[in-house]
Amino acid sequence: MSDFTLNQVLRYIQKDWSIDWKNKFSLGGIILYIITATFIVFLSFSNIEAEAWNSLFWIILLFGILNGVVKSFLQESGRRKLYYFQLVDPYIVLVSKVIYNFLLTLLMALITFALLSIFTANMVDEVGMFLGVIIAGSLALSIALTFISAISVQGQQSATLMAILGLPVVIPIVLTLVKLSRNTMGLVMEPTYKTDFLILGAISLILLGLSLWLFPIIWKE
Amino acid sequence: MKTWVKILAVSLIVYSFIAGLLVPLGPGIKKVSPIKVVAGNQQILDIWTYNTHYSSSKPTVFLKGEHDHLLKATSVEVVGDQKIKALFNFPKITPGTPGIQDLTLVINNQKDGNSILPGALFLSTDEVSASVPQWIPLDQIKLEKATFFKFPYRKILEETIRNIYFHVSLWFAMILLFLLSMIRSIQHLRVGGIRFDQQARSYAEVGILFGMMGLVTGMLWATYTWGAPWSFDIKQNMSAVALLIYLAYFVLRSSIDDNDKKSRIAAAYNIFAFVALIPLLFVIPRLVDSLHPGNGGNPALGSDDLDNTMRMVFYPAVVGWMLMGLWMANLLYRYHRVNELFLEKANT
Repeated sequence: MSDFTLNQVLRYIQKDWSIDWKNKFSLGGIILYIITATFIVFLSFSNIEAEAWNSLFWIILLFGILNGVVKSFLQESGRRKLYYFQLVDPYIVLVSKVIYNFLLTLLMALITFALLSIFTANMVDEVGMFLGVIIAGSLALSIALTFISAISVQGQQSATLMAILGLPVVIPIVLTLVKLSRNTMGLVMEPTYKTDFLILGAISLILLGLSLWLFPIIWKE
Repeated sequence: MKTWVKILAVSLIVYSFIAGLLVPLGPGIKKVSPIKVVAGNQQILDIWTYNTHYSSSKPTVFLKGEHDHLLKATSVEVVGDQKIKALFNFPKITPGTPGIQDLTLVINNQKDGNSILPGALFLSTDEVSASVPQWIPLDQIKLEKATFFKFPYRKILEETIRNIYFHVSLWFAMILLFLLSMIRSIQHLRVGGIRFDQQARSYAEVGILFGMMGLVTGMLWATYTWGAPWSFDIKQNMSAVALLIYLAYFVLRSSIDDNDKKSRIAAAYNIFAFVALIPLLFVIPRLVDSLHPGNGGNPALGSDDLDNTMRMVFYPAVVGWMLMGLWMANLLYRYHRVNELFLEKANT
C-alpha cells in the first residue's frame, strides 16, 4: 500500500461508478425493477393501509437490493479480477464495495419511498426519523449482502445462491427495520428507537467485523 | 472416539427415556368451584384433582390467606380418587387487609403429600384482626411430606412437562454441534487441510438433524400447551430461519465443484452463519412478545418449572444427547472420509 488508503477507496468507488455508468442497463434495470414493482403494488391495492405499506416498502426494497448487490462482484471476473487482486488490498475492495452498495441501496430506498408516496399516499408521520431508518437500514443491508454476494459469485447460478444465502441472514435486520419504521408511522404506542437502533448497529458491526476477517480468504479464490 | 463415551451416551439417553416417561406426575389441583366466597358464610367447595389417591388416604383441606394463616375445612367428603367436596366455615373476621383477598388451596394427605393451587379463591372480607382463632398460623400445622419420586404438576403443562428432556436437550446439543462446526471451520481457514472441513460439515449435518428434531418436538409440545403446532411465535419463526441458514450452507457446498475452493468458501460462510444464528435465537426473541419460556419476559428453567427431581433426568439427558451428537458426527465424518479415499482410488 503505497497510496493513501482513503484515496484508494475513493478511486475504487469511482471505478465502480464509471463501469456502471458506461453500461447503463445494469443501473437502469434495477431502478426500472423498483418502479415496476411499486406500480404493481399500486395497481393491486386499491386502498392501502399503513401496515401493508410498511411491509411492501421493505419487501420491494429488499428484492431490489438483492438484484443490485449481486452484480457487484459479478463484473469482476477472470482477468480483470486478477488485475485488481494484484493492485489493491482486499480490505479496500470490501470497504469500497460496501460504501458503493450503501449509496446504491440508499438511492433505491429513496426512489421507492418517493414512488410509493406518489402512487399511494405518504403514510410516514415522522419523515426525518424515517429517513434515518432508511440510512441505517441501507448500511446494515449493504454490509450483510456485500459479503454474501462475494460468496455467491463463487458458485454456479449466483443469483439463486444470493437469494438462498442472503435472505435468511438479513431477516433479523429486515425485522428490526420494519419495527423501526412502524414507529415512525405512529403504529406503535411507545416508540423504542433507541434499543432498535442499538440492535441494528450491533448486528451491522458484528457482520462488518466478520466480513473484514473472512473477505481476504474469499477474495483469494 | 472412546468406547466408554459411546456406552455413556446410549445409557444416559436410555435412562432419560425410561425415567422421563415412567416417573409419575405429582398430585395437583385442576379446578375449584366456586371461586368467590364471602367472609361470615358457609361454603361447600367442589375440588377436582389430578393423580391423587383420596379413597385410600383421607385428605385434609386448608385455605391459606394473608400472613401465612390457614383455615381448615370443617368436613371433607371424598367423592372419588380425584374429586372431593370440602365444607368451609368462613368466620366474620379475617386476618390481613380488608377488601378482596387471594386464597391458596392446600390439600394434604399421607399418600400424595401436598397439592397447592395459588390464587384458587377470592375472599371478600370487611372486618379484619391480627389474630383470629379459626385461622391458624402456618407454623402450628403439621403437613405430611410425600416421599416418592415425582415430577411437579403444573397447570396447562400437565404430562407434557416431560418433553423438556427431549426438546430442550436436543436444542442444547444442536447449539454445541453448530459451535464445534464453526470452530472446525476456523481451524480449516487457519491451518488448512480438508479434514477440518469434512469435520465441520459432519457437525453441521448432525446439528441440522437435531435442530429439526428439536423443532418437531417443540411443535408437538406447542400443540398441547399453546393450542396449535405453529402459532407464528417469534421463537418458532426465528428457529425455522436458523435452520434455513444452515440448509443454505449445504446448497452452497453443492454449488461449487472444485474441492479446495468449496471447502474454503463453505468454511467462511459457516462462520458467518453461526454468528448470524446468535441474534436470531437469543437476541430478537427476547425483545418481542413471545409465548416461549425465556423470551418476552417469561421465565425459563426456573425452580417453578424444573425441580430437583427433574434436574436428575434433565442434565443427564442434555449430556447424553450432546455425546450422541458427537458420536454421530464422528461416524459421518469417517463415512465422508472413506467415500473420498474411495473416489481418489477410483480416479487413479
